[in-house]
Amino acid sequence: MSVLGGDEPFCACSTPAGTAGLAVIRVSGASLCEIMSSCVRVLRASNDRCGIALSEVKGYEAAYAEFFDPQTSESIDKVVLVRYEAPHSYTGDEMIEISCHGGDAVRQEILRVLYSIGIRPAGPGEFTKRAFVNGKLDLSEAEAVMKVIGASSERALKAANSQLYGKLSGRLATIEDKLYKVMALIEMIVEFPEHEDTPENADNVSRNCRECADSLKDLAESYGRGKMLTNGMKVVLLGLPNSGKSTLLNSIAGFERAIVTEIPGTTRDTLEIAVNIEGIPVVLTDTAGIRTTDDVVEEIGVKRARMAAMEADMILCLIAPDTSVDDVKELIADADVARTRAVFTKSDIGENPDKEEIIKVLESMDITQNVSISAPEGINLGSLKEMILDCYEHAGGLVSDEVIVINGRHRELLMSANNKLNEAAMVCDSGMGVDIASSVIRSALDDIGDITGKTVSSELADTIFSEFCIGK
Amino acid sequence: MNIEEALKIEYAYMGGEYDVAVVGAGHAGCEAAHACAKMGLKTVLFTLFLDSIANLPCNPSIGGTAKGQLVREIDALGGIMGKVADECCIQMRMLNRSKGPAVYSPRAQMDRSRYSSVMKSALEDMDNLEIRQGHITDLLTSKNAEGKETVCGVRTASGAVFKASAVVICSGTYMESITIRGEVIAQSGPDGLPRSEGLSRSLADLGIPMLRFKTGTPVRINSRQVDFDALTRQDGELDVPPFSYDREMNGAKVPQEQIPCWSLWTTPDTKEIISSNMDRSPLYSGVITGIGPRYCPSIEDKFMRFSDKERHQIFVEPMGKDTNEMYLQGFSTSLPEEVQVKMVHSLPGLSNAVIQRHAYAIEYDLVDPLSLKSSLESKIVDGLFTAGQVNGSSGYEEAAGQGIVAGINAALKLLGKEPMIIDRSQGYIGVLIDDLVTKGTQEPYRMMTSRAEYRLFLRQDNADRRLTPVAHKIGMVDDERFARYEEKQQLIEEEKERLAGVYLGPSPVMEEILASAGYVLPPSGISLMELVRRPNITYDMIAPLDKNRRELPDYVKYAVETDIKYEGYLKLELEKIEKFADMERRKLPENIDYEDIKGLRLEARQKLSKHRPENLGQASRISGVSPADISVLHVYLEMIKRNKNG
Repeated sequence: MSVLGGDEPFCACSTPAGTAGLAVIRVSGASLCEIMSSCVRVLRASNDRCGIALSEVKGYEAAYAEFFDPQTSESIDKVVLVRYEAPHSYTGDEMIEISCHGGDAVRQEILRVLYSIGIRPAGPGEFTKRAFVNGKLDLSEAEAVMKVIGASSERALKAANSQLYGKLSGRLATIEDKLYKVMALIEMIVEFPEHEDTPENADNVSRNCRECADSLKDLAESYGRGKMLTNGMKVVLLGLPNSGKSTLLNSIAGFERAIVTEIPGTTRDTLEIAVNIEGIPVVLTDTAGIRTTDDVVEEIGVKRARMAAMEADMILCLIAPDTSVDDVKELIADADVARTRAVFTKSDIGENPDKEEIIKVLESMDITQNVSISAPEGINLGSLKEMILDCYEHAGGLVSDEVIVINGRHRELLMSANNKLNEAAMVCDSGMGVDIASSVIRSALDDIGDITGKTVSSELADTIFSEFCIGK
Repeated sequence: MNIEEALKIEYAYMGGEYDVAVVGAGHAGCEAAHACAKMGLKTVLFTLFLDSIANLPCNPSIGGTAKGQLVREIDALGGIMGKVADECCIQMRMLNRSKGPAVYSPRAQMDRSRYSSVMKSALEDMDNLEIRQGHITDLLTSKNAEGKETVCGVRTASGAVFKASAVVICSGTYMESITIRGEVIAQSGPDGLPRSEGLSRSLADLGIPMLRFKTGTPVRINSRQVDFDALTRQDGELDVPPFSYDREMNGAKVPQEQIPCWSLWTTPDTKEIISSNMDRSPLYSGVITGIGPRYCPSIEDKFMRFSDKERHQIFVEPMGKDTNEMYLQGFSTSLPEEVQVKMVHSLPGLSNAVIQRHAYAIEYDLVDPLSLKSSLESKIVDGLFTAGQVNGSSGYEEAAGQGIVAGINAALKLLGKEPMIIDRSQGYIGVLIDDLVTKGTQEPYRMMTSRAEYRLFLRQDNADRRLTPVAHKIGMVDDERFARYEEKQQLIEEEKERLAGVYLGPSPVMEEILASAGYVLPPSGISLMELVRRPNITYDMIAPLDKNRRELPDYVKYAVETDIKYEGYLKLELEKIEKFADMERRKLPENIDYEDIKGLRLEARQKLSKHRPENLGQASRISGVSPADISVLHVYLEMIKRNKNG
């Protein structure tokens, strides 16, 4: 990354992390329309299939657009864009502001795509710095600008010391160590060709590169919410028979207009449907109604429902107008309250007469969030959706051990290093000189070093001297 | 001490007036003096002993990995080392032939005494240059208008005072040096030559920070008593281009009659002798306190540090055509003389060998290179330049590379011109100097190709492309040579263009050529350039397909092939270089007060105050200075700029 930056484009989310209705991502730099046309389709209406070019959007007017991943063509979010022309923008360069739906996942995905098309993450205080360099800020503000940069780098430093980062750098240290040893061997061969310890050729360079490339890819793929992001967040609908579970399931599926697939292997009694809520893959599980029964078959269904609830990332406990306080108590008897939310259904038919008492019971068990909906009428489905997203956001406990990378920039760097190492392996196998392989590996180490803070030149010399006995 | 004060000392006299005085006629001093004289300045070169000009006190060889590239760069800048080395070469090899063009490294064995006499007579023949034997003990300075110490001359031990507007000190390992063999310590320079006394003190008194390093050299033996049947022979190569671009373009070859080198392995006896005498090693008994180089340990060091290794390889190299003397590379030691005899006799084929010169360790004073600018001028004393081992480097080529830069910049300063700075993307010389002046060094600094970020670009074959235009601009390369250089570049470009334009359909001849390199025939037409780009296919291999090919010199064919094969990778490297250059262009004012800049972290403030980098690029390479700190400095620079403009 160039520290000076110039007008090369960079981006950052300008709204604070955490749940909010909207998030604003700002992009600043030259030729933005051209670069971003690969991931943005401006729509003239919600059913506009072709859209218009970004460059046709007038400056300072809001435009409705679809933001998609250019690699998979999958839609990430419907957003509102505002284009600012240079020099009449905050930074003085061309700028685009993207208002997207709030929530970590959408925001991170949009940033990831922006990074992948060559728009790098903003450095500490960079928007302000750019504004100053372009003469948008008064000279008297220079000191303040320098302080902003200093302060944001302190914050970044704190974030870098977080537990998760420690786990990442731990894993990267192993990979770096291996690569430095590979490099040291190549360098030994190149630097001291006649030395007694020097083999004629560096064996296993391509194998080692591929192994490291694979490890980096694994790390990169843990990005986002790891397992949840790839496999979907599992939401289980729990309730008495006929409490509106299936109706709700169908309305969410229909409401989201997502591809609804019946996942093979599911039994008649639990039905799983994959939907996409705000870019987050969610697996909704419809279960058999819970009730005490003497029917053997039905009892198996109830057991399975309970099992599904145990494995769920989130449990929606459905309470119909005719569900009694005791029924509710039984429903949530062995549910994990941290993951459980209450949904009062069929609000179009009428309110549950014991609603207040039920809420008290729920609160006594620390289930404080609830929502009243009518699935067929579509009442409050938006709120329900928010509740699901909120659970996702705060799912600290849901982040599995395999999740190492939570920063989109890190993911990009890891993928870039992964590509380079695969190329280095290819170069080795193709019979080109080790000089090129070493240049490519070095560049991969630079990418990793951007995360870990190590610089190749100094590390390399030390590795060579500690590994080999070199002398005149 | 100024001129007047120096003239008041007993027996003092005015010895002469020069533009530039170069102190020390080793590899750095010779290049510096040669450059100054070539650029038209009246120059004097002082040496402690006239017969030892350009002495090779260690290996009788020039070049090798990274060092070969340095010699080519010196030559591309109009320097003299490559020419003298070509003339005195008794064996030449191109190292790393199988490892890719970026790391090809020429290395030549030298006729040591001839190297010295050829260099001496070359310099004696130069206009504007006088060579004098003399022992410089003092740097003479006076304060300039701004109160900064400024050089005005030098003084010899015998009282002679010489006026000079610039002084280049290339004192090598001579300042206050001591040599050590076991318990025997001598106040001596290398090779039994007189040491330099007083000069180090004179520099320290001016406030220049000094360091003390250690290095060493192995035993020399007489070849008469060597049983060569017990050694492995290593011959030179006849098809290596010479160091000097002039010679290469004239079609000159390296000598076709060469002298072999030899190699052998130490025996269990060697290890036993060394370990039983370790208590007599000054390194381990604490006599030596100077910091030695990691890449050049003594044989006892190797056995101690890598104790699981039972044996080490030793190379036996001829010291010249007219002498039996041979150099034992890898057998450097500071053990006592009597132990050295036993050690040599433990080697296969050397049981009766006679030692002509003993090995020794040497300790010497040097200038902390952090006190230098990139031009190699001192930040503390105006007009004072230093080059070579006195700046903490090691090796003849590293010294010469600094020497030519210091000489050129001393001359440019007196001519009132901007200094010539070779940056890290332009040459190994740039990497070497930048590492020394921005990071400093903890041990004698050896050039290695891995220290260069842009290694694919810094090749031994294209040093002229990188540096000759610069050298021509400042007058180090004359018009005639520059015209030939341009002609060569034109040939290369024309040929590349031609290859890109010739498309061929699949044919049996093509199939045969491709098959020999492990490829199958492409389905449709392919350009000659695309063919050359493939690994394992050379320019010469496709000759049968290329009917209209004209006869081109080897160095043109080679450059064309390398350019084509490396194109994609070079492009990536060039992109990096562009970003790098942008940072180097942003100069940091000399009087900047880092304590005053809000937003810099404490560590960065301290490091920047200590190192005082010249530009943002240098600042970014100082450990402890983060990208955010650089960002703050960038804003600070903009602020200064706007303050000035407003």
